Amino acid sequence: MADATVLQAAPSGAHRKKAKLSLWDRIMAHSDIGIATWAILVYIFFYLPIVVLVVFSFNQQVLNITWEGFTFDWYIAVQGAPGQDPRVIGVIHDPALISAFVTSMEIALLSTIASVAIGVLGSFALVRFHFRTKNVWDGLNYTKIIIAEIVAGVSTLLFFTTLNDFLDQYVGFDFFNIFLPGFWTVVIAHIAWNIPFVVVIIRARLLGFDRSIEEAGADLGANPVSVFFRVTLPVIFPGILAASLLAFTLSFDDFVTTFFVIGQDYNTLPVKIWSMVRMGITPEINAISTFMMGFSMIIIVFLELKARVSEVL
Amino acid sequence: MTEVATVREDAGKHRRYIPRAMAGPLLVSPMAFWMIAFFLVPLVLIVLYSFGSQSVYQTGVSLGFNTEWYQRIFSEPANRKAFLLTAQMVILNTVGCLIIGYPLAYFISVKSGRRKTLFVLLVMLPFWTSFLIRTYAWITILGNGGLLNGWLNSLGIVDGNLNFMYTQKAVYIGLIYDYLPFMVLPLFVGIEKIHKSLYEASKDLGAGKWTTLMKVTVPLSLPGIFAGCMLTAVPTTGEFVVPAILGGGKVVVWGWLIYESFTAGRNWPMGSALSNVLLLVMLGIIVLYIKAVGTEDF
Repeated sequence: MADATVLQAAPSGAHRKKAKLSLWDRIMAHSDIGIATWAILVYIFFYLPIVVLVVFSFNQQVLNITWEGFTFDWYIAVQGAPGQDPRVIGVIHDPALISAFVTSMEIALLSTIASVAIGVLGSFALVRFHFRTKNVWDGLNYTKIIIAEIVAGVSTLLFFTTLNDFLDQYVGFDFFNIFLPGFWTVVIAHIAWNIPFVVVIIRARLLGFDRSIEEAGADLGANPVSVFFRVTLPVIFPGILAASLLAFTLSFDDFVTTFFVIGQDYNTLPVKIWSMVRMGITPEINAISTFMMGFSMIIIVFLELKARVSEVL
Repeated sequence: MTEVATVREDAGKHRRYIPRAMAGPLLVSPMAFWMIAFFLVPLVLIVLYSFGSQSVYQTGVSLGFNTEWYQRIFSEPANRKAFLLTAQMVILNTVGCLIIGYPLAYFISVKSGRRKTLFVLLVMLPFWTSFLIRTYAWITILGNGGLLNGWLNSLGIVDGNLNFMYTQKAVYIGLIYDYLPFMVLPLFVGIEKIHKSLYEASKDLGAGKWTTLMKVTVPLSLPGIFAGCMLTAVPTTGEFVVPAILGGGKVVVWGWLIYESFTAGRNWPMGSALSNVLLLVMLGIIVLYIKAVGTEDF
């Protein structure tokens, strides 16, 4: 009975409204179209600059303000070819960009391996065990993700410089200058930058883990080590893969922290791009940016297809 | 029955190498070490340094206790101006992202149907690509005689040469562009958590679309709104890349003052004091957020 009243009341209510439609009602009647249009406009806003960036990497004009004509020069040209503007150089022949790319790759690989190893252990501890300081590590991780990177960057710079001076002066052994701003300081800072993100992903994977399959393994006579390698690890492997690729992208794209702790002798791609942008813009910057962007996007699309990161975050 | 029970008991007993109470702390220790040594200790150090003074070598700091730098921060009009500009930038960026992002998040969650994953992915792609490059991408569009100027001219909206680069407008466009995914993703999660049957219930009870939006969708997605605002506002406070690239040194914000102190300015204690003020503001916003939402929805 009660159901029937509700069902009848709804259409009659709608009917009564239809009798005198105000302008507001008529606008709201088409609100779906409005929302869809808005969404399309926002997506255009998201992707227009990216499309323009890519298109203008093929621009013939050196100053790269207006479109002049199509060329592959900014990717493949050798500098100083006859009849060519001396400023034109393709990214694959630019030694500064190549060395920055190699440095970026090395830093990203090292920091990914370390941060995933540390992060996986940490996630296990946070999900499967109860201990007193648990909330402290959670809090530190979330704070690290949220706060503006510049604070982490400058404080880490101060820390490394102080530590390096201290080791020089009082210990007399400087650990091969590992804490002098340069390659290793960036690796250390990137590991700290990646760990919280790794933990977020692995933890989500562990929370959805059905532990009865581990018990089944143990019941069938496997020792804890083989339970870990033959049951637990295969199940969380997609999470580990996702975390690794994400950590790699984060490290590869990072600018702010890297800029402060890298010192004078090294360049990563983003740091190099920063100094190029401040010198003036050329299609070469667009070309190297297109390359970097494509690189990250391929990783994220792969991640989404393989591990569904959008559901984790 | 008894057989199974003995095997299980046995499995638990002789294969535990580490006492259970130790296992958690042991597993967490590498992470704890790294986060303390390379995140927490530097933050403590920067507080110490902000009370120090510049050493003779300029880059170093001699420790001590003087409040000179904090006094200078709030007595110099240029610094106060930068503080106010940053506050304005944080508020406008957050509100702008919320207004632009909410309809999009609503569309993805409620209206996008089977293509939902694709639409989420399209928001995430820019989110995970380099900030620096996404900001740089606007130069060609906003520049002197650039694309936007050309489009506006050909549509007859304006006549002549409009320059957007190196203005506050350009900085706001760049900020909203960079931070929009930070807002849309939590909003999407917030709206997604609302059970779809509530919309039907609201409709059955005679509510129109507008009433449903204001009385069901928005109130129930408040945790998402708070999370989005926090995740946008907090990192914006220290932003210096966007004002540097699109504002060209004319838009001096707090993050830029810090950047200058640690690079060309070579005044590390001053930079530390500036960073500490920033850190306090960020912690303030986070505390406000936790008071509003609690820690469960993090």
